Formats: sequence, C-alpha cells, structure tokens
Amino acid sequence: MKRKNIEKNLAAAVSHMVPEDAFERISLNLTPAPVEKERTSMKRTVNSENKKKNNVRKYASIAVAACLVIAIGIFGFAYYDRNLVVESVVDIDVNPSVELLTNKKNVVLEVNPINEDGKKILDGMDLEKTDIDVAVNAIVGSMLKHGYLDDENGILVTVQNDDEKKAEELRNIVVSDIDASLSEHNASAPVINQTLTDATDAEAFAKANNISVGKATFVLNLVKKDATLKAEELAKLSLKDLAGIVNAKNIDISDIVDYDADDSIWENIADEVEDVNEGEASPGNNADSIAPAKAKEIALKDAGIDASKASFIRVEADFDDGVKKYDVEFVSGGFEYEYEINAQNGNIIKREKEKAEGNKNTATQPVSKATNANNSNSSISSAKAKEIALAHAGVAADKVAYIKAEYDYDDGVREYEVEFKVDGVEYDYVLNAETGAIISYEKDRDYNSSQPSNNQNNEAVISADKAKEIALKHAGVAAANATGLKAEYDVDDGRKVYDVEFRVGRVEYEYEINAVSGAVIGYEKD
Amino acid sequence: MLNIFTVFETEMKVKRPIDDQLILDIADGNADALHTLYEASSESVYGFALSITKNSHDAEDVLQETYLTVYQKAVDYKPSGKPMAWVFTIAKNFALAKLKSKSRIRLLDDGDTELGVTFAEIENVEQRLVIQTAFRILNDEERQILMLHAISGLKHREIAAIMEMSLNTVLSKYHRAIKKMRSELA
Repeated sequence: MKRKNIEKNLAAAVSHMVPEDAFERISLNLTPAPVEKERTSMKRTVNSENKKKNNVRKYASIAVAACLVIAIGIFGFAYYDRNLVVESVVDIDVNPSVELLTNKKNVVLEVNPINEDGKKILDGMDLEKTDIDVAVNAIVGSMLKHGYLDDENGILVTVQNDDEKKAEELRNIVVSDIDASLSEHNASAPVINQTLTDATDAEAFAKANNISVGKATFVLNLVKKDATLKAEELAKLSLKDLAGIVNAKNIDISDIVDYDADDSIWENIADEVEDVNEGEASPGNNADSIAPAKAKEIALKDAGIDASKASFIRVEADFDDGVKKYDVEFVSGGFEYEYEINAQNGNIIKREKEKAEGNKNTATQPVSKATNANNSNSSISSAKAKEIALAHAGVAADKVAYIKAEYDYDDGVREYEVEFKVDGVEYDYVLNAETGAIISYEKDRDYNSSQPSNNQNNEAVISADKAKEIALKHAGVAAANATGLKAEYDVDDGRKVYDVEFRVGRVEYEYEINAVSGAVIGYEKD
Repeated sequence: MLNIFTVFETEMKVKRPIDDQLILDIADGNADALHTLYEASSESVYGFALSITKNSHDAEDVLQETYLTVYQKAVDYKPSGKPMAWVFTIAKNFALAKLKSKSRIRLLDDGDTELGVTFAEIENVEQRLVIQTAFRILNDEERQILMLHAISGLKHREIAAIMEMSLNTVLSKYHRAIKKMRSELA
C-alpha cells in the first residue's frame, strides 16, 4: 500500500470515530473565560525554615550581586469540575522572576521568566510537562550553576492557592524538593516559604517592580509593619539585605512569616553576613557542571569524529534521577549518534549509534520556493483547478470517469486536491489554490478496476543511480545540494519502482520513479 | 489536514481560515468561532489523542477537555500564527495526563498497555485494517507522528515542535513508521 493511501485510510478511519454529538456536549459545558484570574481570598500561612544542609560552608563568601528569590505561587482558579482540566497556575520567580503554571496534578504547564535573570536561569531548559519536583530540581541546579544560590542568599517560596490544604501540600512538596536538590549538590541555602493572601496588590506591585509575587508580598507586608520603609526601595534589595533591615529595625516578622525562633533564617543570614565580614570567604567547591560545548567535545572524542564532520542535532541539559546530564545527538557519516553525558564529571552514561535514515543534516542550503507568494486571498475555482490538472495530465474532460476537487487549507496554504480517474488510472494532483501551480501529482493504476495491468516483469530495470539522477533533475536540484539522497527499489502492486528520497535544507523530496521506463510516477515536497 | 471540505463542481463555500483571529474571536466568547475551529480540527485532535491514549473513551474525553480549555484559555493565547500547534499542545497535555493517571492504576494489575479501542465502528474494511495495523505494529512515537501527519496535515517541522523532538528524529520515525506499515500491508 502506498504511503498516501496509508495516510488517507488512517484519516478516513478516524473521521468515523469522532462521536457526532461531541461538540454538543462541549457546548453544554462551556463556561465563560475568567475576566481576571481569581487571586482573592487567599489564606496566608507563612513559615520559614532553614535549609542548611551541612556545616561545611562551601558557599560562604562572595558578595553575590543578585539576590535570590524563588516564589512559587499557585493561583487556583477553578475552570470546570474536571479532573484533567487546568486547575492551577504556578509561578516561579528568580530574582528576576519565573512564573510556573501548574495543573491539579502538579505538572508544570508553562514556564515564564519575569525578568532577565529569570531568563538566564531558564536558558535552554524545557520544563513544560514535567512534574513540579523535576522543575524545581532543574531550577535549583541552574541557580547554583549561575551562582545565585549560597548560604547567604535565601530562597523564598510562595504558594498561592484558594485551597489552603492544597497550598500547604504543594508548599511542602516544593520545600522538600529544594531540600533534596540542595543536598544533592552539596549546597545549602536558607529557604523561606509562605502562602499568600490577597494577592491582587502584590501582583501588581510585583509586575511593576519586576520581582516575584512572593517577594512583593513580603515587601508589602514589611512596609505595613514599618511606615518609614519604602516598598519600591525594598523591592530592589536582596533577601539578605532585607534581613539586615529587619534586624536593624528590629521588626517582628513572626506573623508574616512562619517564624521559628530557634532556627530562624534571619539568624542564619545574620551569621552568614558576619562570617563574610570576618573574611572567612573561601573559594568554594562549586558543583558547577561542565559546559554544553564540553559535552559535545567529549561525545565527539569518544566517537572518534572530527567536529567539522559532525552535524549536531541537539545538545540538551536534562535531569535524570536528580543527576544533571547532557543529551548530545549528532549525525556524521550516515550515522546518528546519541550520547548521554554526566554534566558533573563528564562521564559517558550512554552511547548509541545507529544508521541515519537518510536524513543527514549536513548541508543546510535554503531552497527558494517556486511558488510566487501572491498575497491576495483570491483562490481559483475548483473548476479551474480541475482544468489545470486535466491539462497537465493530457486528458480530455469527457474521458474522465469521475473527478473531484477538494479544497484544503494546509499550513496557511490554500490547496486543491484534484482526483480523477481515466481508464482505470487514478490521478492525484495537489494545486496551490491561489496561483494554480501544481504542488505535487501522482498517477496510479487502480487495481481494483477490471483494467488489466501492464506486465513489466521481463523488462530491464534502470539503476538506482539513474533513478536518483532522474529525480534530482526533475526537482531541479544539483546532486551536491541534496542530502540524505537514497533510492530504494520496490515492487509496488506488481510495479517496479524506485522510491527516491532526498532533502535540500529543510525541504524533503520524495519521488516514485518507474524502474523500467524511468518516468516520474509521483513526487511530493514537504 | 486542516479545514478540509469537499467541493463538488464549481461551488465553493467560503469558510474562514484557522488563524490567530479565529482564536481571538473565541477569546471574546464567540461560540461560533469555537465551532469553526472544532469542525476543522476535531478529527486531528481526536486522532492524536487516540494515538496517545489508545483508548477511545479517553480520546473522547481529551477531545472535550481540549475544546473546553481552548474556549477558556483563548484569552491567554499569544498570536503566533500557529493556532493549531497550540491546540495540539493542549490536547497532548490532556492525553498524557490521562495516560499517566491510567498507568498509576495499571500498576495494580499486571496488564500491558492493552488497547481500549476496537475500531469496530469503522465499516470500511481497508480503513479498519490500516488503523488497526498502526496501533498493532507501531510504537507510540511512530504512531503519534504518523497520525499527526496523516490527519492534521501538519508539516514535519510542526510535528517536531509539538512532539518536542528534533526534525530529524521526527523524519526518521515517520519513515520508519511508513516502512513498517507498507511491509505489513503489502
């Protein structure tokens, strides 16, 4: 069965499966979009916790310019009562701020950096669709790597949710995730966490000052305690400096954070400040991971391939069971290589090599599209489309057994798919509906009809190279510009054909060539 | 294929394209706009959901949840010229969540990922055979890519974005899928 028929059958099969009344049922459940995210009536419970992981102060030191705040806000807004529907939004802010949207199952749906530092932290990470613990681990790792986290700079975790229990739950998850992630990296940093109330003011303030909602809430609460403080000024300060002010002014924050007098973060912060002042600064054993470029280098060296010969598909940082690693993929010499490299020590965790499926991505040559982009919305009529197809096929309209033109909107391109049958031969054309240009065509003997098929059994077959040559010539592509060129001999419904494939840049060509006559039976450009 | 409709003879119904404006209209609460989107994309969404969940009831749930969410979240849509990619991403999230909640339950019994779909409603023998084959012989990713390509008509690079894979990976999986299907159905 031909590729096209496989796809057609699949599409047709599915079209029979969609329940007819589905839209009706959807209509019944429609709820108007929320005018504004409901962030009111949130309960405040605040607690602080020192996340000092070990006594070796690997991180003591260095006046770090940026303060670090992670606030995770969960804004619960009920959509409809469905288990899988997005229920909550999670915001993660890092001094620049990062906002995480999560659903009921604590899966991150969206990650938005709020400021430049947030972007830096998130650079190259794709945390969407991951569980909250994976995301938190990745973010903490990245913060460590970028030097935002140390003993002095605290992490502020803020959780917002209508549902107090849920907020509490999530907050505990996040705090323990941070805990685990810090200990993994042999690092420590104080963690403050709070759940928010009345986030509307804080949200606006956060936006205006490029800080997280969590930090904004804390700042606004501080200002309420001491009228001499200016919220805008405080917003610019690091958590450490805020702690300094709290100490200097002797502000009682026990009711705005969950305060533990024995082991308060503020005491710890103060200790750290003193330590630094006493010049105890040590360079610190950083848990820094190797650079992506280094990972590439390791992979190439292992494969024994020169960098100039490899075309990289991706180099991605990933966390696997809490271990940061790089996934390195590249193509060289017709093989696809896949490496997993431990980002900490550069050890190769996994290597894989497999024959690339004709998709070498070496030369990337942009191909100019032949279609003239006519911006007018005018389309040719279906009659015109049929006419063009018939003329191209050299078939008279009155000889045609049946003909239909189907209008199709494919990726912004208006197309006509014209199908007709003459003497048992099926023609299949795709035309640009605006310009009338032929995008692809295919000619196929219909073996369901009683029409006898040509017997080509005893005929000589052209070489694969010849088939390639025919396809390239037809496409107007120089052999040097085509990548992944291959020709495969196939007997399709008793017909001897070559399937020729190649790519020019990102455009994929597929030809079917009659292996006896060398005629182009069909082609497709994608 | 997006927005397919068959035109016999010369008459051509003017149907609005699936574009950013359509989503913006949905954001305004325009249920007709939602219907237009649904008509144009429900088969693709259903097919994609089915290819992930392998269960017709789940696929139906995902279908509903997707359009309910589209209606709800259209206000948050950032016009990018890729409304369909957005819709598929929503569908994918729901489908994966379904799968996940199921797999949690499945740990209790020992069953493998059994098919929750019979395709009995498909009368055409050839169509039924092809889709059954796709669900029988292809692995998850191959099947998802093939279904997306076959039904939605999305380009490989768009599928790559939705599947969060490199273009090369999608292409090679797609070709492997086609090859498997062809040899099975030969």
